[in-house]
Amino acid sequence: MKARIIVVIILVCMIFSGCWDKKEIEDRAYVGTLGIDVVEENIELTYSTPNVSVITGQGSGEETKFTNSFTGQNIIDAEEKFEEKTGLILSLDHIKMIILGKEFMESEKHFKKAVDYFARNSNYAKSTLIVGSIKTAKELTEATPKTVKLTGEYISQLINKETYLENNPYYLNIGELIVDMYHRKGLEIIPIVLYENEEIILNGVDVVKDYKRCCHLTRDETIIYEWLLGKGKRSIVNFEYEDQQLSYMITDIRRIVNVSKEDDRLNIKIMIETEGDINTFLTEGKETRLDADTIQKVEEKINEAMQKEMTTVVKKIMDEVAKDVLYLEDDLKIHHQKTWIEIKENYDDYFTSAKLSVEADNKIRRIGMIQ
Amino acid sequence: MFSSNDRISLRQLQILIILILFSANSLTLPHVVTEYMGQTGWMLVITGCLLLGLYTYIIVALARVFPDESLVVYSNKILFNPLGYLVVLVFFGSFLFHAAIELRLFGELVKQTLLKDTPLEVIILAMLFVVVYLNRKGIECRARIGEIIIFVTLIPIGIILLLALGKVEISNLNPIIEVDFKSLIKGSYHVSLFFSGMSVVLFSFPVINQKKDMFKGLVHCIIFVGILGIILSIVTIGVFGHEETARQLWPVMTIMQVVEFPGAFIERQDALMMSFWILTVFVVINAFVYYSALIISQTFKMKENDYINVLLIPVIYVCALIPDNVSETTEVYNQFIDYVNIATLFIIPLVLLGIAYIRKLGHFKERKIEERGEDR
Repeated sequence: MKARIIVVIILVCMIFSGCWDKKEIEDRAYVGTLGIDVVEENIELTYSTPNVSVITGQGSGEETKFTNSFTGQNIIDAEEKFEEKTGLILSLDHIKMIILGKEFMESEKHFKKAVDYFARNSNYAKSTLIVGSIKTAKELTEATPKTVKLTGEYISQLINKETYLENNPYYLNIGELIVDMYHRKGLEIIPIVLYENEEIILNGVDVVKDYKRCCHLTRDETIIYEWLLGKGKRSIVNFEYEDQQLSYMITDIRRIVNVSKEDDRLNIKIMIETEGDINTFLTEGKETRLDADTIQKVEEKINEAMQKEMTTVVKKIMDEVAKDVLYLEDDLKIHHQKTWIEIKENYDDYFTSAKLSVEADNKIRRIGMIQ
Repeated sequence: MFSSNDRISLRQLQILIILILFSANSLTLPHVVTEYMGQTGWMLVITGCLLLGLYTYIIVALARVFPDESLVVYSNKILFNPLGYLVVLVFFGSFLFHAAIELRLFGELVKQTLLKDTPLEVIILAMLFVVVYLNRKGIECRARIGEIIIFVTLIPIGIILLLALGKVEISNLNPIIEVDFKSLIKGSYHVSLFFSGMSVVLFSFPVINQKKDMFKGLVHCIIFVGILGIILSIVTIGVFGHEETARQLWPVMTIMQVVEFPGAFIERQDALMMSFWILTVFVVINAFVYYSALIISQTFKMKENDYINVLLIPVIYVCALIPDNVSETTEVYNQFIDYVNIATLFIIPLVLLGIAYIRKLGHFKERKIEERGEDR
């Protein structure tokens, strides 16, 4: 009996002393947005923590968020300074967005280290979104847009609205960044955000090659890039038909890649096949009926327009990136396995010397309720 | 279901075996197979399971020689005394080692992902105490816990795999024709030894009622675990690519972090999934500690093995803390698998079976008598 009482007392002491190292919620800083910049060869982290009492309407004041910046030799060093200087416990579990500054994306050394840090560290949820800034990440993190005051929340809303595109080019999370960077040896497409007139705009993508930013694709070019990947359902093709600007909405799209090897050089033909709708067709002073012949003529015009735009973007990629950012190797691995095994060791050389051509084949399936 | 505390049904044993085989390697299996075969690594699960089927056939054949006795007893009948004890010692050491390593890996993963500020020693001890508490209640209680845990763990893991299927890139699994036969043989051997849990059948056989259907039942377990392993490997390689899968220490854990639940309100679902996984690891550690204690009690002919479980706590605890870091732990584990598991899964059962056959022991003796009777 005595022994039982002693055991109970010991257990009570152990269980009820659980609060000795308690961490109160007000002692924690729940970071919503994190900006990463490079300033004079050092890493500068800008943390944005929401002022919960103001946002929920329970407290007075106007500040919807607090921002603090800390500089260090690397991310860990800068992170350490947060707790040292604020006296708060850094909590990264609710982080919505990580913004990368332009200079950071141009620093191979820091970019590589950061990717490795995210891969090893379990404090960051792998589903945290990542965007790049046209200027500094600090400017974006500190920004107070007109509509949604919290930058991270705002950008994440904008990105999620882009889901009309089948493969949202603006969606990139830490998990994908880590996998792509390792798998594709430092090649990645980073969505870019611009802050202008108290508004945040998704402004195309940056191509990162060998852990270094190398080329920017505008918003329009990003859509065309999506077509080249065989993605981009519900995107619009603008084309000219009998001096009229018309639009064609893609409802289905696929990519067919044909590869042949001639004289130690790859001959790659990319065929983009789409199906879609014509929603407006009004040609002034002329017959406006969309009969079978007219549809065929319109389809040819769409083909021409798409082909022209895609060829321009392919040229830009070949000139400025000179790496397979079109992920043609994925098609080679699946459909041309023998060729892939043969060339995989020197694939980059084969890609840069390849003869690349793009074709489009569009089919208008729906023309609305009238002919 | 039986009222006594020392017998379980074949179905219950199947559940325990599935949990032991699956949990012991589920987190690292894709990592191991890609190290050998790259994008076609999932094939190793098939060949590994075929080899495991062979080991199981020999294990069951040996167990049937003395159907009502455990290996501790009949190893001394088949071999001479010191050799018999040596065989038992190999199994004891193997179970103890597996318990310690699984415990250490569990502790490391929990510390890294869930309890960052908790000392590793506390995590390990907490798990050990719960394991020992259950073991003291006997095999029937273990079987009942297994019946609950199998649903609690496999259903969420199944959901995760289904959600992750959407992220699989077929190109990551290609080219499929690139198969190196040398790696296939080496890898199959290594993967088959990953399923070391099958050797516990040598000690469980006497407490199972439907002994006749044992092999068939265990083959069902292998098929189930094999299919799960193939899906797990395909999904992991398909999502990460073989290079990244080979780089990750626990790729399946990362899958849990990457997959997003549609409309989920939980910010970090990986912590939730981790808690389900802890239950499966609990069953594995529990099994190895249980059979280590069983070996001691049967060797020294003790009636109860309750307190032996408690005595094993400091031994396993110390063993678990010997490796300096995770890398050393996995390296030691892989070396151990290649040299010791082949003995416990294949060589020892085969040698014992061969000697028993030559010396006409156990049911070989009965068969010989029957044959003589028929001749007369």
